[in-house]
Amino acid sequence: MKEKDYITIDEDFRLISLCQKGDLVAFEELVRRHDKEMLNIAYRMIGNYEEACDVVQDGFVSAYKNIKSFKGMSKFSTWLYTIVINLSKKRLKQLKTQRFREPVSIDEPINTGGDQMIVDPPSSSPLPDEILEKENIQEKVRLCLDRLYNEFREVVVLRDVQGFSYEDISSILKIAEGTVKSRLFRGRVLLKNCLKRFMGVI
Amino acid sequence: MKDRLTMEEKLAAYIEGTLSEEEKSIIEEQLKESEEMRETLSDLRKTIQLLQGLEEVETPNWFTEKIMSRVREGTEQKKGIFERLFFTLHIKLPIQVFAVIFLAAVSIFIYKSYKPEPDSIRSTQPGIPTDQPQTEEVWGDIRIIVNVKDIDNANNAVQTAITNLGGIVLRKQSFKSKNILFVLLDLKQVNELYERLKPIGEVKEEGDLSTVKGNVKVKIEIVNK
Repeated sequence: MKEKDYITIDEDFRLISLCQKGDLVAFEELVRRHDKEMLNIAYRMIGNYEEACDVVQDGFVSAYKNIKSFKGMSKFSTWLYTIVINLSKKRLKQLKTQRFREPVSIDEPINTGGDQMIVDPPSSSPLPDEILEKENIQEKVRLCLDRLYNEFREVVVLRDVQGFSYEDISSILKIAEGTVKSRLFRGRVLLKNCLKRFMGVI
Repeated sequence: MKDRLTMEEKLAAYIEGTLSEEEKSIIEEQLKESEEMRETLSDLRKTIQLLQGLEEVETPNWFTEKIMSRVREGTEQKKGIFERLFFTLHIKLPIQVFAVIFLAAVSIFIYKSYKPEPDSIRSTQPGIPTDQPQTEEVWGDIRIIVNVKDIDNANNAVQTAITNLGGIVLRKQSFKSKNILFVLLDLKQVNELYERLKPIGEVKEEGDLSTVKGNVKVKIEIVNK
């Protein structure tokens, strides 16, 4: 563990024990430490900045309400990010019914030789070319990321965008490291295919 | 149930360095012979780079304040649980029965108030609480007051002293002629902090550390002379 990580974790625990006694000043410091990372995770999951801001606020409110149940078995940040990922997925489900959004991530199902992943049928409405032409590369990546199935998007976001370790991702998503890796690899392939389709050459 | 990776997924794993030696050798042989595979590998690498290159978004200016305001609202609502419970009971009792009981109680109270009583029983009115002066937030194990001539310079010097001793400034408040710092500091550093504040201004300490262990909550008030 890097020295900086060790100091950060240690200080989080100092603050958490105060929060568990009702100290809001200490909680505010925890908010300042983690709000940006929370927001970036939520934003990359949901694809909408305002919704992500809402979800992160909900996440911190929920964290404070449940702070006494945090026993320190994992890093506090891991616990927080689990909350924000779950809330992001919940919000996505709500938004799906409210707005035009492609639920499908891939055009062809993944052939795992008998262990087929269940996928939705491909969309019949491609993204308008004139919009894509105007988007810069970052936007294209964002759009392709938005089109990924949740289970792939979350591991790609946590690993490739946010830089978490397999161990941390496994803790946050409550899945085995092997599952993290296989979803990551599949997610990257799907994203690559999407980018190639819309950009031609990556 | 073991997942079987496609060739492309194996290339993604190859980039990550998670393939076995045997699988890695197979891939490398295939890469030598297939331009298409080399292209796919290159595209995957570029995809990962693009993902890693996504710019972080910044939090809005009002973010922390808004979060804390919602957290505080949540804690205040908890205090309303008693009212909610009473309200539930109120639903259970018919409104008319409640009104009758209330009126009867008021009548009895008024009757008793006008009935002559011995002086000893007529107790003095409960003391009318005096208006509480506006108090600042009550917080901290100890309070240190530093009287200074230049509040801005003193503010910087105090914060430097805190940081150098490994303390954390959790929050700051500014008033007209006073700045308040809410600080978390190791108990072992408190005396040293006190010594470092002395050159900055007149220092006064209040509070009791005898029961504190580990970290101390220190409220530092920097006051303009």
